[in-house]
Amino acid sequence: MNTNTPLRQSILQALLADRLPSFSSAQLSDDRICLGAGGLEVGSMALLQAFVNLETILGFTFDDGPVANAKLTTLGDFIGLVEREVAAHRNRGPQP
Amino acid sequence: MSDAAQPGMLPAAWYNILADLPFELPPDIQPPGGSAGAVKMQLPLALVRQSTSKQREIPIPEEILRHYRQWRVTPLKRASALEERLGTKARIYYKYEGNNASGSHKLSTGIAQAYYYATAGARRLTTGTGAGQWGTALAIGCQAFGLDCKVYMVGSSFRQKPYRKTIMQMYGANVVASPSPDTSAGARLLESGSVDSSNIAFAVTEAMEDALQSEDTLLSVGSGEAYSILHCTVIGLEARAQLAALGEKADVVLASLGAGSNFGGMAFPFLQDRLRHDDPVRCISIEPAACPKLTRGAYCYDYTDSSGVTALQKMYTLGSRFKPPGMHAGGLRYHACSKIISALYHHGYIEAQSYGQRDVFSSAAVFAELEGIVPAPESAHAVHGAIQEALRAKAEGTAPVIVFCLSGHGLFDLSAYDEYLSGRMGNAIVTDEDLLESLKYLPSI
Repeated sequence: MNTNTPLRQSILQALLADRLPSFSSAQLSDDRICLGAGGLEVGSMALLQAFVNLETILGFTFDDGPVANAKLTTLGDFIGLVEREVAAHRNRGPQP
Repeated sequence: MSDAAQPGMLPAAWYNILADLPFELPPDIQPPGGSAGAVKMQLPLALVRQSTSKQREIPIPEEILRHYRQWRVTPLKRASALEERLGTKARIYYKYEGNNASGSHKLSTGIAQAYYYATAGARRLTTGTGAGQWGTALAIGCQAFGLDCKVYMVGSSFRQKPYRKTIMQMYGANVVASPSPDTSAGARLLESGSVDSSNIAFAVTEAMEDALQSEDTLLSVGSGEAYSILHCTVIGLEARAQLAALGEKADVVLASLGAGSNFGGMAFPFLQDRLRHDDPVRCISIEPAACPKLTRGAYCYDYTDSSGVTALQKMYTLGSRFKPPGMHAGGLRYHACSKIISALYHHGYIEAQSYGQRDVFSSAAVFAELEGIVPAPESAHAVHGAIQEALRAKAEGTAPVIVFCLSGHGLFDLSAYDEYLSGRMGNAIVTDEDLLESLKYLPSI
């Protein structure tokens, strides 16, 4: 997996913001690292804020359903969800 | 529209003061850790967006407007008999929010939050409530949008106001006194024997634990968060348009302050005139001397609940372990206030006053006699503040337009009025020693 794509960088920036420099590149390229305790130490509100931050970057809004129903344990879970939503948005085409 | 609200017409959009703040809000600090397993989403994305958006007008969905129309537009009335009794040339108006099933302003966010949670797929909401207005409002909202509802009600209010429980149950809610045996935090406190049954922050802690342990359940809070204040701005938007239709413009706007939904909902639409157009309108928050966060609290980072798991916000606070002396305005017991209102106070855009309980009830009794509405103990603080402003105007020989939010009725609070009438009510002023003790436990940032 290419761990340095622009989308991944945007996701990490939206997720960690000012805390980004406190993690090593090895940690940030490891999809298995936990989002919560013992990993990136990201709580529920920070994760939600990351989705909203990404909306500004990506130019579309996330639906609550996939976000609320996702089991987000690791960084890979989060990136995978965002990638699926980006793909779904592309498939839907331009919004009215 | 925030600038174009028509008198007698429901606003089509809420007013978002974040668009007009002339300063940056201090960022929240997330506590380190998070959960060890999957991270559970606690809030609909729409409410997260509303908490950070810089869009001045946030359109109100038609599904919410349909419910608002049951009781909105609420009346703006002139308190002519009160003016006459005071012998003041001030013109006193009040915006009455007690004319709905919840009896208070809280229904404007109760309906909105239930809609957004239901739309996001929640099946059940939990919440903490002090005096019960918020719990009732959320129960009504949940029933309207098909959600189950569990309310953790501050124990002292639960016992003082048994009919609050009844009305919440009428709207389908499961209501328990906090601390309760239903959560591990509550059970531990009950077992320890050192039960504090007046702590709204602990009721929120129990509601949060319940939500975290149930798959389809989310926590809802009634005040303090930017979105709950946003939803209540329909109050100030309507009042501003109603005054304009009378050829009046507010000089002084007052509302009681708990965590912020009432004060912000009433004052922010007026405050935008000051922020955008340098209008000299004065917005004054009235708080109880038993819980004086703006007038005697510290402006620093603190937790919004008592368990220390929520994000730290910079706000005026008395410390999340603060225990107010016995008081009847349960909705004003919260230890801190909204970070937006705190920052506005810190930067000098709003004023704050605090008053003792007996003095407040004295004004409420006069208002009930002259204007025919028994104010809720929380709302009575605004009544008292308005009377003080009118008397000040009389002494200074001025004739300002004073408008305040009468945020709810007091018909569930007659035990409090009974205590007032019996002469047993004290002013319930917190001591410096108690404040210092509570502030000792502020997190070090």
